[in-house]
Amino acid sequence: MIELKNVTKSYPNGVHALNRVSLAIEDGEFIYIIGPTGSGKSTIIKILNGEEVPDSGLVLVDGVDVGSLKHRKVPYYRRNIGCVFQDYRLLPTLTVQENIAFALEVLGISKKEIRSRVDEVLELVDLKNKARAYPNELSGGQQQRVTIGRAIANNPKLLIADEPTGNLDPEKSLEIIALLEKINQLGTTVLMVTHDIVLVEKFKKRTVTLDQGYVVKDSKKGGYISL
Amino acid sequence: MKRLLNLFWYELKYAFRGIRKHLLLTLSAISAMAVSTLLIGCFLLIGLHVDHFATNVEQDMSVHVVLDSEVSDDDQIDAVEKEIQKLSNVASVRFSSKDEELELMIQEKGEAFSLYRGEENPLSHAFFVEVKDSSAIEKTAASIEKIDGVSSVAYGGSSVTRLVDLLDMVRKIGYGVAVLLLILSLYLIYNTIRTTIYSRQDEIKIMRTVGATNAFIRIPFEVQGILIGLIGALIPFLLIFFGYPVVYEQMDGVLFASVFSLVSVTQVRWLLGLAMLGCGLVIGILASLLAVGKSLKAKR
Repeated sequence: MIELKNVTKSYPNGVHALNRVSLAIEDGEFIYIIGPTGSGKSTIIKILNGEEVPDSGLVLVDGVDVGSLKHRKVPYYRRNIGCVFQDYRLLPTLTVQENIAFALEVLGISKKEIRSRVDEVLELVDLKNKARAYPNELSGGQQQRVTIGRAIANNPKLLIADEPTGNLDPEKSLEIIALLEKINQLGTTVLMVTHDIVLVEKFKKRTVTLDQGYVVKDSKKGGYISL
Repeated sequence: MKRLLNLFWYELKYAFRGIRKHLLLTLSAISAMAVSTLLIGCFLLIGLHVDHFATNVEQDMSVHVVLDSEVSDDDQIDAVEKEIQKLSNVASVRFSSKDEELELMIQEKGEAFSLYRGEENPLSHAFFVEVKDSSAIEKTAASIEKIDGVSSVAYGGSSVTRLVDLLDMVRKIGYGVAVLLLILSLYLIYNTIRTTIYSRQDEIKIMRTVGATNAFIRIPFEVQGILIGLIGALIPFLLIFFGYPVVYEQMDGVLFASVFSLVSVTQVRWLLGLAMLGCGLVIGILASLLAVGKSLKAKR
C-alpha cells in the first residue's frame, strides 16, 4: 500500500515539481503515470525510492514514512523497491548473469542462493540463453529485460519503471509491457512512468495524469485522455 | 554472521576489480609507497645505530690523564687525585702507575716497547677518570688539564662522539625527506582511489538503487587503499628483512671498530618491520578515508 498525502516538493532552482499530490496505490496494482516533461513524474519516483524528501506532506509505503527515514535506513528501505530506467544502467564489464547477481551480492546473499535466484530470474525474463552475454551484445529490448530482471531479483514489493520503453521500438515495447504484466500477476505492484500513448491506450490500466506538479486526472479505467 | 562473511567476500572481489582496472595507477602508488618506506626504513636503521653507538660510547668513555714526569712521589699523586675528584662530573678515578702504562702501551703498540721495561721506562704515572655525564666529557677533560701536575689529557670518545653527532644529523635530515615522501605517497594513493571512485560512478549509482549501504559502497575503496599502503611497505620491509642479515654477516657484526657493534638482526627485523608496515597501514587508511570521505558522502 502506497499513500501520498498532500506531497509538495520544490527544487532550489524554484521549480515546483509536485503540488499537494495525493495518491493511493493498492498492493498488486498496475498503474501508469503519464504527463508532459517537467510534470513531476520523475520527482514522484525519487520520492518513492527515498532519494528526495518531500517539503511537506506524507509518503507512506507499507506504513513506512519514507520522508523521515534516516540516511542510514534508506538502503534497507530501498531493498523493497525495484527500479528500471530508460537507459538500462547495466554494467558493461559484467555479463547478464553477473549484472543480475550484482544486485544480490550487495545484500550479502550467499553465492549458492544467488546462483539459483539468477536462474529463476533469467527464466522469468526469458534470457536463459543470453546468461553469459555482455550487455553490448544484446538488443535494446533484451537489455531492458536484464534491467527488469535485476530490479526484481530481490523480490521487491514495488517495481518502479521509469520510461522503460523510451528507447525501444513499438514491437519491443510490447514485449516489455507483457513482461511487466507477468511480474504484476506474480504479486508485485508495478508503477510505470511513460510517454507512450499507444501503450497506455492498448494496455488499459489505472492512469494518473500529472501536469505541472498537479494530479489532473486519475482514471481507474485507463486510456489516454488528451489534456 | 554468514551474511557478513558473504559481504566481506564481495567487498574483496570489488576491491580487486578496482585494482585490476587501474593497475598502472595502483602500481605507481605502490612504488611511491615502497620508495618512501624504504627510505624511512634506512633512516630508522641509522637512527637505531646512532642510539646503539651512543650507549656503547658512553660505556666506553673515560679520560686518560697523564701526569708530569716530575710528579712521582705518593703525596704529589694523592694531591692531584684529590683535585680531580673535586670536579662535579667525575664518577671515579683509577691510578695507573708508569709500569702499568708501559704494559698497556706494549699491549697496544707491540713488543718493541718491552725494552723500556725497568729503569728505562720513559712514561709518567697516569689516571683513568670515569665521568658521570659523557656529553660533558670535553669540559671535564679541559678542567683536569688545568690542574697542576697534569701533563696531558685524552679521551677516547672524542672522534666517536663527532661521528655519532654526524649520524644523528643524517638521521634528522633523513626523517625530514622521508616525511615529505610519505606525504607524496599519501597523495598518490588518495589520487588513485579518487580516480577509481570516479570511474565507477555508474556502478555506485546502481549499488545505491538496489539498496547497498553506504558502508558497503565505501569498503572496497578503503580496502584498495590499505592494500596499496601495505604492499608498498612490504617490499622494502622484505628487502631489509633479508638484506640486513647479509650485511651483518659480511661485516662480522661491527662497523670499523668494536664500539660500533651493529644492532642484532632480530631487533632490526622486529622494530623496522613494525614501523614500516605500520607506516604503510596508516598511510593507506588515511589516504583512502580522505578520498572516500570526500567523494562518497552518505546521501539518500
